This record gives sequence, C-alpha cells and structure tokens, in this order.
Amino acid sequence: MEIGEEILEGDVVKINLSGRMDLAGVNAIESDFTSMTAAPRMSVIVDMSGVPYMSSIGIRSLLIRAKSVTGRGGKYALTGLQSDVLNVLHVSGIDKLIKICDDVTAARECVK
Amino acid sequence: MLNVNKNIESLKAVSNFTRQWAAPFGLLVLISFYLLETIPFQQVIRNYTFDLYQNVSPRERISAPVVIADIDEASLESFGQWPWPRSLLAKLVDKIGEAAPAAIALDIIMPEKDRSSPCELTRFIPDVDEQLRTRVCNLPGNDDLLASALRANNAVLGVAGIQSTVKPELNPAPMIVNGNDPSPYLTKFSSALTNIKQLQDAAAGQAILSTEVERGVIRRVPLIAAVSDTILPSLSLEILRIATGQSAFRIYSEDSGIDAVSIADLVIPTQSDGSVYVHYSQHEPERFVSAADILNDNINPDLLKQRLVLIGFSGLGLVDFPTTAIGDRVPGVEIHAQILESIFDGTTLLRPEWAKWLEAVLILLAGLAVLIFLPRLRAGVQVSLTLTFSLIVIIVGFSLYQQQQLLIDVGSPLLMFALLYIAMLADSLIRDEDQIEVLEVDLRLQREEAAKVQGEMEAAKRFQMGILPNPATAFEGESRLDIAAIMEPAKMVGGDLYDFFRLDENHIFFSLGDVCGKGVPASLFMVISKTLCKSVALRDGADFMQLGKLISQANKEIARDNPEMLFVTAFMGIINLTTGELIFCNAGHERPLLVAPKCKPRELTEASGPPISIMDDTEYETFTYRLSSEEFICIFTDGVTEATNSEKELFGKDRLTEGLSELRKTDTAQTVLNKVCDQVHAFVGDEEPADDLTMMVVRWQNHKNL
Repeated sequence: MEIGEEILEGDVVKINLSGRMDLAGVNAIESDFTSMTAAPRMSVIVDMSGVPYMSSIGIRSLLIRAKSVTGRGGKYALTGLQSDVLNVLHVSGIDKLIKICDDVTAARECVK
Repeated sequence: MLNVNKNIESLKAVSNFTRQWAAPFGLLVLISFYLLETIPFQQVIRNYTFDLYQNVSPRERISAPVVIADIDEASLESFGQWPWPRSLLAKLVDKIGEAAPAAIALDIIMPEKDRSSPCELTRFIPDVDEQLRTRVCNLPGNDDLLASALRANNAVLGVAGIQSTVKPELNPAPMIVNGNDPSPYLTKFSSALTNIKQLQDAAAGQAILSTEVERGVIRRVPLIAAVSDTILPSLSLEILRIATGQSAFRIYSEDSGIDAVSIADLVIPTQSDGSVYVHYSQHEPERFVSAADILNDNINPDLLKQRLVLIGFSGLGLVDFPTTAIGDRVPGVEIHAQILESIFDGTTLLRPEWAKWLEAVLILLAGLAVLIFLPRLRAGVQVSLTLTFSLIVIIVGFSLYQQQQLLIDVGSPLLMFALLYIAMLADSLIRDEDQIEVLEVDLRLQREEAAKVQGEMEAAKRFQMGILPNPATAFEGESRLDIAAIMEPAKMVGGDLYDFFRLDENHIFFSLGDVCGKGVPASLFMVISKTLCKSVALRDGADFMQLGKLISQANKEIARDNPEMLFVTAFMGIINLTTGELIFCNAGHERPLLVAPKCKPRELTEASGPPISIMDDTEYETFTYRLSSEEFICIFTDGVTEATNSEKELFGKDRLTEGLSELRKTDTAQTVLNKVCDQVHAFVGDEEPADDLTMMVVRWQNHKNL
C-alpha cells in the first residue's frame, strides 16, 4: 500500500490511500497514517479511491484514526470508496460511525 | 546473551590494542633491525635480489678492452705440464709484448724459485763435471729470463692476501688519500703470499688477486685492500694504472667509508669498504686467446694491440672455477676481465648509501598499508592494490639497476610485505572465526528463543481450539437440530470463534465471530468475547428472548478494557426447536446465507449494529426469522469469502452462493459444510491460507415432517 498527503485550502489534510488494505498493506502505511493524523483539531479527509479491497484490519485502521482525530476535537471523513469497500463498511455497520461522502467537495463540507 | 556480549567486548579490546599500539611498535622494531642488518637471512635475500637483476638483464659487452692469454688445455698439451719453466712464461710475455698491448698482468703467483733453471738442474745430475756446471750456471736462469721479460714489458704481478704472521715485502704504487684514512674500512689481510723478490722488483706493479667468495659465488671484488699496513690495488686497477701511465692512485673517503677510487680522470665509485659489485656479462669465449697460439705465432697481432692482456689459466685441474652472480662457472681470471670491462664501459654497479633508507621507507609503507589501509578494503581491492604496489616496487628497483647501475634491494621489503600481509590475513581469519563462533552462539540462542515462542504459540492455538465445542457430541440425542462447524486455523493464532450451547430444553444458542487482527492479542480477545457472551446469556434471570439487550450488555463489558482497539464482528442466534423460530443479532458480521434444496440461496440481511466493542453505548437490535424445516443457515467468516488463490483472486460470495445452489434432499449440515470447504481448498490450491477458515451450518428439523 501507499500513502500520500495533500494540504487543501482551509488547512484540510487530504490523505490519499492506494493498494489492497489487508494485513500487509495496513502494516506498510500504519506509522505514516498515524503521524499524519497526530495534530489536535485537524480536518482530515481520507481519499480511498485507490483502494480496491479492504479486510477487517483495514476497518480497524480507519476506525482507530477516526477515534484519534475526533478525540482531539478534529473532523474525519472518508471519500472515493469503491463499491466493494463501501459494501464492507455497510455490512459491518461502520458507515454509521464514520462519515462517508460521495466526493471531495462534499467531504470538505463535512469536515468544516 | 550477556555472556556473548562480554566475549565480543573482550575480543574487541584485545584487537584494538593490537591494532593501535602493538603492531606499529613491532613494525618500528623490525625496521630498526633491518637498518642494523641483524635480520636473519637479510643478506641472502639481498644477494638473491641482486643476482636476479643480473640474471634478467646481464651487462652488455660494449667495448672489449681485455684479452685473456689463456694457459688452457691445448697449451698444456703442446708445451707440457704445469708449472712451465719460467723461460717459457718469459717467452709468452715477450711474444705478447711484441704485439704492443696497453699493459700485461699475470694472474699467477710465483713464491718460489724455478727449479727448472739450468743451474738448478745440474744439482740433480750426480758427479757433474765442475766445469760443465760452471758453464751451465753462467747461462741466464729462468727467473732471470722472466724478470727481464717483465721489466721489458711493464708487466703487473699479483699477490694473494693470507692470514699469517710473516711480514711480507710489498712495494705497491703510491695512494693519494682525499679525506679520512681509509684503512679502517678496507678488507684486511695480515699478510700476503708474494712473488720472489727478483720477479717482484722486475714487475712494473704489484696487485692483490683476492676476491670475496660468498657460498661459492663471487659478487664483490675489492678494488683496494689492506695487507698489514699497506694498501694494495686490485689486479684490474693496477693494470689500468700501468696502461694509463699514472704513477699513483687516488682514494676518496669520508666518515662513512670509501666513496671512490680514481686513476687519472677515471673515477670508480665503490662501496664503503672499497669493493665493487661485479656487473657480469655472459661468459664469452672471445675474451680468451690460447697461450699456445701466442707462443706459436698463430694469432693476428691486432688481437692484442692496445689491449689489456691478462695471463691466467683455464686448464682443468689448475684452478677453481668460481660461480658468477648470473650462475656461470668461469675461470677466476675472467672475473678480473669482467671488472675491467665494466670499469671501461662505465657500468660498474653501486649500492648507494641511501639504498637502505629507501628500503626502510618501503618496509614502513608496506607495513602501514597492511596495518591501517588494507584492512578497510574489500578483499578484491586489497589483492589488486597489493599486486600493483609490488609491481611498482619491482619496476622501480629493476629500472634503477638497468638505467642507473644502482642496486636497491626490493626483495626484502616485498618479502616483509608478503609476510605482514599473510599475518594480517591470518589475524583476520582468526578474528572472523571468533566472530562466527559468537554469531553462531547468538543464532542458536535466537533459534531456541524462537522455538520457545513457537511452542507457546502452538499451545495458545491448541487452547483456542480446545475451548470450541464439538458439534458432533454437543447435542447428542437431539434429533430436531442438525449442526456442523469447522475452524481451520491459518498459520498464526487467529481470532475466529464459534460457539453453541443449550439454553433450555427447547432453545439452543449459537454464535460465530471474527476478531479483527491476528496473533496473540486477537486470540485473547476472542476468548474474552466468547466467555463474556456465554456468561451474559446464561446469567440467572436473563431474558434471552431480548437477545439484542444481552449483546448490548456484553458489548459494554468488552469495550470497557480494549486498549488495542480490537473489535469483533459476530452473528448470534437462538433457535426454538419446537417452532423453528430464530431470534438473531448481527453485529457487523458477514450476512449468513439461507439455503435449501430446490431454493435459491438468499441472505439474512438484517443488521443490528456495528461490530462489538467499537462503541460501548451501542443498542443492538433483535430480529426474528421463521425457519422452515430442512432450511440451512450458513454462517461464515471472511476466511471463506476472501480466501485467495495464487493469482490474488478472492473466492467471493458468488462462488459460495453458486456452490450451495444445488442441494439435494440427502444433504446434511456436515455435507453442506464439506462442500464449501472442498471448494475453497480447490480454489486456494497450494497457497498458504492468510486467514482462519471458519464456518457453521445449522438446520432445524421439524418432527412433524419426519
């Protein structure tokens, strides 16, 4: 897996993930993912358009980051989910816990 | 581990000391010994190096100033055995003199009177007539004849240096000394074997014939040597003096010894003891003219004209044949001839004073390279640098010999270099070995550690498998329920679980879950979750019909202590064996499949909430479904749907559904389970399974239908 970071207008941090989000993939990005979301009161958008597959370990990773960001007074949203990944989130009920937005513009509204 | 580290530390300490102080100190001691010439075989190696130079590139004979009048086998055959009467020798000198040579020298010592003189011969005749004897004795004696021949031809005679107490009578040419008294440095003889006075007085010069023989090889010849208190020139030097008509030699000396010897304007640099290294050319028969041919007027006089003529012998049995530095065995007189040639051509060899300092610097460089520079390089670079250094040193040494006639001993520094290099290699081999030993111990400990961990992991796995109930024996005698379950663990301990138990006579609880993650934390979490769920369900007074409430309670307890942020997706159900009513909760788990013969498989889509332990205040919803008899509920984890083959393809829900679409009446929970497992195994092939494969199949059987 690969991870990249972009700063959008209004200090919104957009994190781009790509690759299979399984055990090996999550291990590869975990420390970067953690350090990118470490500051207090952040607005984070996670762009998952490059992720074709996600296992339960991927859900955990997204959830931990979400709890960490919102726990420090920040906002957190996912966007660009492919249908399989969206289905996983839907089946596991995670879509009720994390904001999922259709596109980046909507996500920016969410994390305002 | 502590011991191992200690060993490494002590090894390091020793080798640091060796590297930093002991080795450079040893190198300095070695160089001091070298400069003092106290290293065993130092001279042997040096001689070998110099011999090698001369062997590879012997002197070229440019001018041929010397002719040897050789009393050879042919001469002995024509004129009889040696010693010849001196009258014959006198005739030889006269014959040579007729050809107008530059000078004549005899490499022959005549310490006694000639017994074959006519007067001497009469003594051997008994009762000789006194008149006859007087007449015979009035004839000139052989010594008289030779004396007049020597006088007439300005010939040089030789003496041999010996150790004796007899004081010799010597009258050498005068020496003019520029600088210190040279005597202390010279080769010294206490006495000399001289010619009889009559001949000595007749000769134009007196020379010393001795050479220095080392292990049968003549490398150095003194140009001047001391006999008692008198300094004598060598035969080659003396003949040059006569040829150039000089009356005296000049010696240049200073504190460290003799620098050079000169005649007229010819300066010959020498070693500090007044000797020279002979620069040899190959043995040349052209240098020799048979004495017999000279006596028989059998030669072209031009052969001797203006030449330096040495009279000597090569007849077998008359003389030793010393070995030259290039390995030829030649008559002694040829060595004098070769020295004269090289003096004439200006190609005498010199080992300069600074040679040993240069050699010491080379040893120092080689030593420092071996101690400091080379160990930092890779073996391949080391070898090529070593070869290059050696080659450069050899080329420099050889070029100085060939172009400048200077003798620099490169053999000793190279040998030292080689020895030091070998020592370094041996040292690093020993250290490597020690290090390998340490590493091996380390590796063994690690392996033992790993095996221990592996053993504990396996124990954990056995324990995890052991707490799962056995579907074959759990409900023995209960004909209304058909249940099968499997958990095939992947390599690591995982976090899948299933469970079933009887709540009362008509109610059975069953569950299947998947902890997110792998390894020990996941398996511990799985055990906690399973235990908590069960204890909540069996708690006194619990209304298990309110399944969602029970789950919410369990969730609260599990979520309370969850530092690793683990969670578990689970499907939980209670089946009423009398009515076939199913009460269930799905906490974020894969939707179970409902399958029956002649029916399309369909999903149980109701979702109660997120996975357990994500949010402690989640209220899980309870759903109800009425099972028909012979309907199978298939509950599975993503170990089934996400089983991966070598092409990284997932098994997927579609394959699962398709595999379950054609069930027969005879199928049981176990055969349905087996069908899915076989399909997954066939799909995955030889790939290592990434996740536990867990599945449960439950069927309610209505007795009214049986």
